[in-house]
Formats: sequence, C-alpha cells, structure tokens
Amino acid sequence: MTMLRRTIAAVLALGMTVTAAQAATEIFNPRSKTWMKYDPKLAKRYYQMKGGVPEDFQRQVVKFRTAEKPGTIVIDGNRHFLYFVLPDFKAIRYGIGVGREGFGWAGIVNVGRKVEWPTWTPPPEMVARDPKSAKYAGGMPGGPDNPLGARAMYLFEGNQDTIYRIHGTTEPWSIGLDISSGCIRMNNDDVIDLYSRVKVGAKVIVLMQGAALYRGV
Amino acid sequence: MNIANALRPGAVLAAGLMVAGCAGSGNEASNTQTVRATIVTAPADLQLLCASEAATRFGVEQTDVFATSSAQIETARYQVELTTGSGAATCVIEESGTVVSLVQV
Repeated sequence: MTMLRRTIAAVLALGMTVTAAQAATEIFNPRSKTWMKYDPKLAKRYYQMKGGVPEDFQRQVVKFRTAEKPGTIVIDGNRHFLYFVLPDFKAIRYGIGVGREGFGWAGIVNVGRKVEWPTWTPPPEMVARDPKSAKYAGGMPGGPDNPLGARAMYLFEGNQDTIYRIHGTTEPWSIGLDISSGCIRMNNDDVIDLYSRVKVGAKVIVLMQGAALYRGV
Repeated sequence: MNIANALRPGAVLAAGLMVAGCAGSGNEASNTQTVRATIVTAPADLQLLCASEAATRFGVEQTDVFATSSAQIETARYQVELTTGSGAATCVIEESGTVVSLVQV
C-alpha cells in the first residue's frame, strides 16, 4: 500500500477529526488595524494597485529546520507557501495558490516529469463540470493564455501520475487563495525559478490540514 | 479611483496598504506580517521535525510518518498529529524546534 493510501486508511480508521473548513488567507489592513478576508475580488484589486502579491507571498529565503534533503519541495497548503529546501537549514519560500474547498489534498509524492510551456489537457472530470474547459478536451497548446503558465512539474506517486501539478498561471493575483482544482499554482517568474532548481524524482511533501485527502486515480 | 470604488472595502484596504507601503521603510515592511491563515497550524518545518523524530523514536520508515493536522496550543508551542504507518502519535513542539513530547495514541 502506498504512503498516500496508508495515510488515508489510517486517518479513516482512527476517526481523526479533519477540520471541515479549509484555512483561508486574511490580509492586515493597517488603516483599520483589522484582518480582512483575502478573497479573489480583493486579491485582484490589490494586485492591480500594488503591481504584485503581498510581500509574504513573494519569493524569499527563509530559515527552515528540516532533515529533508536539499532539493525537496515542501508545500504548506494552509499558509499558501511552497518551500524548496536548501542546505544549512534554509529554504526558498514561494507564495502559491491551492485547491479550493473540496479540491485540496495531502501526501508525499514526487516530481515525475517537467515541461516548459506545457499543453493543458483538462481531465474528464473537469470537462464534465466546467463547460469552458470542454473545448480544450483535446489539449490546449502551451502559451501565454494557457492556464498552466510557463512551466509545469507533474506530480507522481511512484510511477503513476496523480493528475496534480505544480505550474504557473495566467492569474498572478490568485497567489494566496484557495482557487485551483487541486494543482499548486505559482506566478510564472516563480515557477520558472523553481523549475530551474528542481530535479525529476524530487520528493514533494504536501501538508494541508482541513483538505480532503488524496483520492487517488 | 472614483468615489464608488473608493467606498468599497477592498478599495479602502488596497489604498490603505499602498499608503502603508509608502510610509514604511523596507525593513519594517519585511518584518511585518501582512497575511495570515484563518486556521493557525504549526509551521511546515516543525511538522516535519515532529515526523522525523517520530520515525526515529518509533523505528518506522521516514516515509511512513506524515503530519495530518496541527494547532497552536500555547504561545510558541504547537501540537502535531501524526500517522506512523499502522498507528498514530501526538507531538508537542516548541517554536524553537524542541520536541517537548511525543506519544503514540
């Protein structure tokens, strides 16, 4: 049994409480001294006015105390951070967008393959629920309008594609939000940077409390 | 920005943030948390430290231990729930990275 399936089985067997609601992002309003819900509308407006995402979601080197090998990717879906582990207890931290309610997942996977300007082929389930994606059922060529953005790293469990990816986006304002169908989205500059560092086979640990557990394929 | 937009909470916030960004120094901005999650979980590295410690203490493969949930229980102290292959464990860890307790449940 794989790690992901063992995790699911253990959680179900133990009857652990998985928080129904996912963590959402709040942003501090220094004028009112209050925290406000960071929703897509506010995120778009912030991005338009500031020309970027909040500073916490911008790429930066941070302290990261772990025994995981340099080159490992750790995703904190609740805080919307992706860490690329460096030597000497440091990591590069990137802001990310993650799966919306019901589309999050957790587990240990690996980078199965990497593609520049990937073709986007919506899975049949997405085509079924989203008419807009139906016209691309046969695949949308890579390019600036492609929702996978500039780079994609395909996440595998063993040798099997999980259908989840770490990829760029055409919606850079969406970093920090729960907005995807389960993929991990990054700004194109960030995903290009990460892509240049990550090796095929790299371990990817996805932590996401409150999300539905990986459902497998 | 027109008046209608200016009255929207988002516009007010964004304008406020712009003012704050202009007023503050670079150092102040980088040291100030501007976003947070509505659910306070343990930082990812602390969750991984708990998982690593559990694998060592309980003699299980590192890949069989996984942090499934966590919460802040006191200032600078977190509780992390782990699966350990066939079982489970609860880890309490301080912000400093010191594992305070680790018990199988």
